[in-house]
Amino acid sequence: MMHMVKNGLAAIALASLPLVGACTKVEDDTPETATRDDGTITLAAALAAEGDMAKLRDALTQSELAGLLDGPASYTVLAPTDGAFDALGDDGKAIFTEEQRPMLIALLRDHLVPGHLTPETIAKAIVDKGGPVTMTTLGEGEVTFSQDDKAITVTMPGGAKAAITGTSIAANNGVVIPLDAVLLPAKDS
Amino acid sequence: MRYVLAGVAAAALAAGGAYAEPGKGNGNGKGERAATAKQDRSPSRERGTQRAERKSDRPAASRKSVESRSVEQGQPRSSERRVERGNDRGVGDRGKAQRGSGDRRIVDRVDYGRDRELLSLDNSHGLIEGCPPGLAKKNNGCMPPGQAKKYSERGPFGYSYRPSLFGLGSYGDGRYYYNDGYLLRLGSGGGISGYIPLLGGALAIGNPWPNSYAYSSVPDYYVDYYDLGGRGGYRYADNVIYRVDAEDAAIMSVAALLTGDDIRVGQPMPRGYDVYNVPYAYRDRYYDTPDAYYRYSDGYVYRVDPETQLVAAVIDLLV
Repeated sequence: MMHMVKNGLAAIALASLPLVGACTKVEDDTPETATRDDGTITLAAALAAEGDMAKLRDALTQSELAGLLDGPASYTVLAPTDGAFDALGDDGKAIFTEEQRPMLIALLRDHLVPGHLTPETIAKAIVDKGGPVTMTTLGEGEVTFSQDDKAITVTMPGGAKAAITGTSIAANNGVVIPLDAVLLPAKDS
Repeated sequence: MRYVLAGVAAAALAAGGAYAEPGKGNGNGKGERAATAKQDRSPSRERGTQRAERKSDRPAASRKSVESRSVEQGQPRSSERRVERGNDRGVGDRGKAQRGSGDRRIVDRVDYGRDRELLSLDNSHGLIEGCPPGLAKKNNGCMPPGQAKKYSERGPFGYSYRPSLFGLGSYGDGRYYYNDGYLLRLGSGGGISGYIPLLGGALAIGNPWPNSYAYSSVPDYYVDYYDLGGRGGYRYADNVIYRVDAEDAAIMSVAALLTGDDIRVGQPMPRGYDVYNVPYAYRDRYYDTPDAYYRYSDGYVYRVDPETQLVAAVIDLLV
């Protein structure tokens, strides 16, 4: 017996609040993509409010990891859009079967980063370091963030690459950062 | 009933429940098996359980009244109490609400080293010898002749199945098959020499915890931080913490995924923490300055000396 939990829907009135602080340059340059800060909602609510994340929501539900998004720990979700999942073709559908659930989880873990990252802090870290920066993931390895002409890109050790696209949402237990592609791990290590 | 937690989580994801309650375990634990380090923690366990129960009544967003503790001796460095702006510290009332409590209490966490040792026990997993449940042991390992085609060596996208693909870094290389929720290791004799249950497969919600799959205890701090309930209400293995039914050890939900990074005071911060990532509710308190920067991993915030790149202090995130 599962009952839908419908409390808290009203809290999804997201305020487009510009961030202040050390990264004002980045935010000023791209105000339309500045992270929306809403500490009143969880990652689950943030994802539920996203219009282009239905496949990712399905993936998290099928993977049985959805509970993490309402939990006390903080995760940043590198969140491929629906179009990114569609681009995976038949193999992208195969990972949604029960038989391949471990594989789907493996894929999702590569898209989870510990803690609360925003594109603004990533951009600042790239500037501070003077080049690409790396973050560990909850999966096989780490991801590398780089600053291209206009977008921040994410790469996996195997060469898979995606760009941060659209508006990120900072929730109280993590951040949703939209990606335009799914990051597939290296074929063999 | 064991599906309730997962169901609530899935429903919350679908319905956008901003305040869905984190899962709670059952406090009446049974004994643990292999790879379990026992601790004398009865009094604190009781307090921890009560605290976890109280905390579960609140949404994560409301857990802001934090008195953090540090392994560092003495008082906080002045840089931590400055009202400087750094990183992408939030807007609104968060800063105002905490500015008045700038003199946070520092309590020595002398047991961090013990916690770290406890967590390190998880790094010594080996394959489970023999055949997984459901396969009869034959002369040729547990792969009956003529049945090899049942096992998959390559999965979607052409991936060859390997432990590291599933975040299982402590297992050796070799030739592996996948079948029915298990990774099967091919032995030298051509049969299956051992196996690993996989998260989402054999370790899916509703399945009983595999008897032969060793698990470890976690520090009391994790019991509180991840709302794990009692000792019998969770299992920790291969960097995953599961909530289980204390009665029959059926898996109820995934409570946490961990990096497993072994971070120690006085040692360099491991690779992979280039970006400021302190959780939302603590960003007004722990933000990078020229004197210190802060990184989060597996429930702790680490203060790092920018000059030496060494971990200077460990800060937990509970009252």
